[in-house]
Formats: sequence, structure tokens, C-alpha cells
Amino acid sequence: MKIDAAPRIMIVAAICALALIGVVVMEGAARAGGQEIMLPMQAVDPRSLLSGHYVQISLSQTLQPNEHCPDEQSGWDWIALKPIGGGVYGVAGGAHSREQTEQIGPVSVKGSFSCSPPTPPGKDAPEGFTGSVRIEIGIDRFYINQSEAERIDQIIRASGAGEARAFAIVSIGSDGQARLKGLQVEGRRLELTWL
Amino acid sequence: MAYKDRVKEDLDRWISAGLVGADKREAILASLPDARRLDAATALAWVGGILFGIAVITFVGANWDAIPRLPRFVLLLAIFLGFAGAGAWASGKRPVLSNILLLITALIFASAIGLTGQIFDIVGNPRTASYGAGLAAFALALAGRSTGAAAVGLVMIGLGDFVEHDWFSGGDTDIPWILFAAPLGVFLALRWSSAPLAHLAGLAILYCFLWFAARTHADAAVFLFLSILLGGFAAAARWLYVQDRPYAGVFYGWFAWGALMLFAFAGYAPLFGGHESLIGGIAHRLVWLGASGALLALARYDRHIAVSAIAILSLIGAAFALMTDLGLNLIVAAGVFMLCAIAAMAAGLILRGRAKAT
Repeated sequence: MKIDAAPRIMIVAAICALALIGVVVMEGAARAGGQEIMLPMQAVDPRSLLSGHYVQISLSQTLQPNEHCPDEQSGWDWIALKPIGGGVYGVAGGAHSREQTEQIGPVSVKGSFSCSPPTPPGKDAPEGFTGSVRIEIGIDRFYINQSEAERIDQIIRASGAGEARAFAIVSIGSDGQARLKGLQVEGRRLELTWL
Repeated sequence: MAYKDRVKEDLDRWISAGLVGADKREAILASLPDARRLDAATALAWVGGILFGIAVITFVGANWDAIPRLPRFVLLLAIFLGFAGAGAWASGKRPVLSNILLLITALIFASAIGLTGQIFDIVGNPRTASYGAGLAAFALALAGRSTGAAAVGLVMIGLGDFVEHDWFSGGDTDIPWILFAAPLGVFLALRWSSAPLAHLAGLAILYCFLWFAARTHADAAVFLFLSILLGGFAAAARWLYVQDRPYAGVFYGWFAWGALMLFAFAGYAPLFGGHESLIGGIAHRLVWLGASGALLALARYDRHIAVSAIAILSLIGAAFALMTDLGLNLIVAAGVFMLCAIAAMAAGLILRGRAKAT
């Protein structure tokens, strides 16, 4: 049976549209069904390029001078997260597999981190210097309208060193993938909604 | 040069030689179909179509603060399906319009993937997104016989191969999808007689050869092998060109250029490099000179302007490389070039003698 060009084109277009709808529905379900955690974030930057306004997210955890960088295995691609107070999570370590990270911390997520170690108190620096852990879990932006993006930017820039006032609300799915649910800025939740 | 133009030239020659009557000229030419040429109106329609597509993408891409997420997504799908529907409506009745509309549809779908990620904050893999857009564009191309959508498919799959990959350092173990898309592009370009698609597919085939070359550690033998293989491809394209297969000449040009470039690279790979292999290097440059000269002769015989230009550039490159090898010793260089000139002239005389004998 030979199908004419017109119905062929419409069949292909319908399959493409359904594929997009399928991605949206599946991602939405995975986001809703995942474990919700909050991660500290810093240095946001509202953008206005072709892709629209968004808050650039840098997930970064501050390490106090008496703390040290999380342990990691060579060639690891999973991160173990642990609660660090106030419902916020921080990095516990890195490992090769989910099973290994589950032994390090209660929450496992696919990704990587880089650590800038803190300087402990000493003769030259009586109070020491803070370090930081930068978390890379594929979340780097949150699309939002321009006024909200600029407001969040001002709040974060006004924060003192090591003082996190904005957090990323992240859903960790059963597949270990992190999905952004929204932001919490000065106690106010800005969540992704369908409308 | 199109077949009809070549016959025109030959006819005028035959008429002046008295082999064909002048009164037969128009009748003979009328029996030959005109080569399909892009007229100004069609070219402007293409440019307008592409600019319109870019305008739609930019408009959709702009931030829609006032529109809620779900209606924004519905609008995006409606624009995509609207253009696809228009392309479907025009298919059969207005093939050029249908082709342009399907090209725009393919571009809209590519941007729709990114914008859907933006609308719903979906963390996506850029490589998967590009491959998805490329597959959709090829599917639209095959469904509607659209060379424009096929070109978008090739470009998107090529982009997907480059995103987050490290092909040319040899550090990536994945197989680039262009290895499958490029031959499909060649097939569609020849089947649908499309010059733009032929150029893109020709470049995609060269990309495949460079990928193979990058898998090795700059080994001269591999470069030589790939050069000979691509030379074989060029010979096949030339055969199709001589059979008057439309746009096979485009592949003839790209493949000949690629074969000469790979051969040139081979001369600087470890097998020939270094002071201890100066003789090997000079031998390579002489073969390079000879191959370029032979290609020039063949291209002139085939009346293929682009291949002639490629051969001349290659000849200049080989001569320059040889002079550099010889430390710009002009006496020695003059001697080598004299030998090459004598060899070329002798070959020309032999060929002419054979032609006269037959």
C-alpha cells in the first residue's frame, strides 16, 4: 500500500509532536516522584539572550576552615549527599556506583563535584579561610520572568561570604538523575508549575 | 557544464565542419531536456523561506513572560504542526514550496526540543537533542521528498557528533552518527538531484574520513590508505558524472580534494618525517606533484572547472612543499621542476600520439 506524501508528512509530524509531549510528561512524573532535597547555591546571574530570562545556578557548598574536602574515588561519577542542617544537603563523597555512594551518604545522585579546600586556622590566618565544593549535577539554570530573576540576583549578591540565602529545590529520581523543581529564596518557594 | 550546453558547443563545431546540417540544430537541441536551473524567483523564495524560519525561531525563542508554560508549549506544537501541515498541503502541487516549508518545519522542531527544555526546565543532553532533531528532519525529508529537511538532518546530526565529543584527539570511543547519515545524504542528493545536499553530503563524507584518520596516531600508512580509498570514491563519482548523473560532479570535486589533502598529510606523518627520511619526503612530494598533474589533465578532459582548480591548487602546494624540502636551493629545485616538466610534456605527447593513432 502506497501512502501519499501529505499523509506521510503528517504522520511523521504527529510522531515528533507526541515524542515531545512524551518527554514532558515523563520528566514531569519523574520530577514529582523523586526525593526532594535542597542544595545551597551561589552566584546567580539573570540572562536575557534568545533563550529568555533565567537564573544561572551555581550549586556551591561552603566549607568551614575546620572542615575538609569530601573523599572521592578515581573515575567516580556518582555523588553521595548528606543532610547538613535546615533541610539542606551537602556533599559526603564521590564513588563509582550507586551502591558505593549509598554507603557514604543517604542520597545518591549522578554527577561530579570539585573542591577548593579550606585553610585551617594558623599563625598567618588565625581564623582560617573557608573553602567550597562546587556540585555539577546537570542543573545550571532556572527559567523565570525578568523581574524575579533580577530580584533573586540582588538577594544573592547582598549575601555575605558563606551565607546561603538561596537554595535549589532538587528532585532526585529513582534513576539517580537530579531534576530542578524550583528555588527557595529567603524562605519563599518559587516552584515550576504547569501554568 | 550541463549536457545540453556541451552538445550545443559540439553541434556548432560539427555544423562548421559540415558533419551536420545547420537546419537540424534546433531540432536536435529541442530533443534534449533543459538542465534544471534555479531561477531568481525560486532563489529568492528559498532565501525568504530560510529567513522566515529564522524569524519564527527567534520569535519563539524570545522570553514569553506573559504566557504561561502550558499554553506556550501548545503554541510551539501548533506552529510546528502548522508548518508541517502547510508542507503536506503543498506537496504534489507546489514541490518547491513544500520543500521550503518542510525545511522550516525541521528547523522549528530542532528549536522546539530546546524550547521545551526551557519551558519545563528539563535537564537534557545536548547530544541527544541534536540527534533527535536530525532524525526528525530526515524523517520529514523522506516523507515529503524534501532536500532542505535532509540538509537540516545532516547538519543537526553533525552538530550532535561535535557536542561533548573529543573526536579529533582520538579520545572518544563513541561512533559518530554522521557515519550513517553521510551515505544517506549522498544517496538522497543523487536520487533527488540536489546541489546543496550534495555539497553537504560531500563534506560529511570527508568528515567521516577525518574521523577515521583521527582514530590513528598520525600514521602515514593509514593516511595513504584513506587517500587511496577516497580517490576510489572520487573515481566512482567521476564515472557517475561522465554518465551525466546530475550533481555527481559535486562529489567528484569534494572527494578529489579530500584524497589529495589526505595524501599531502601522509607525507608529513612519521613514516616520511624527520631528517633521516628526506629522500622519502621528496619522493612523496614528487608523487603528489604527479598526482596533481594527472588530476588536472583528467579534469580538463572532463571539463570540470572545480576539479581543475583543486588540481592547480594542489600542484602549487606540492611545488611549494618540494621547494621547502630542498631548502629553497633554487638550482636543485629548478632541476626537479625541469624533470617534472619534461615528464608532463612527454606524457602529453604520448597521449596525443595515441589519440591520433585511434
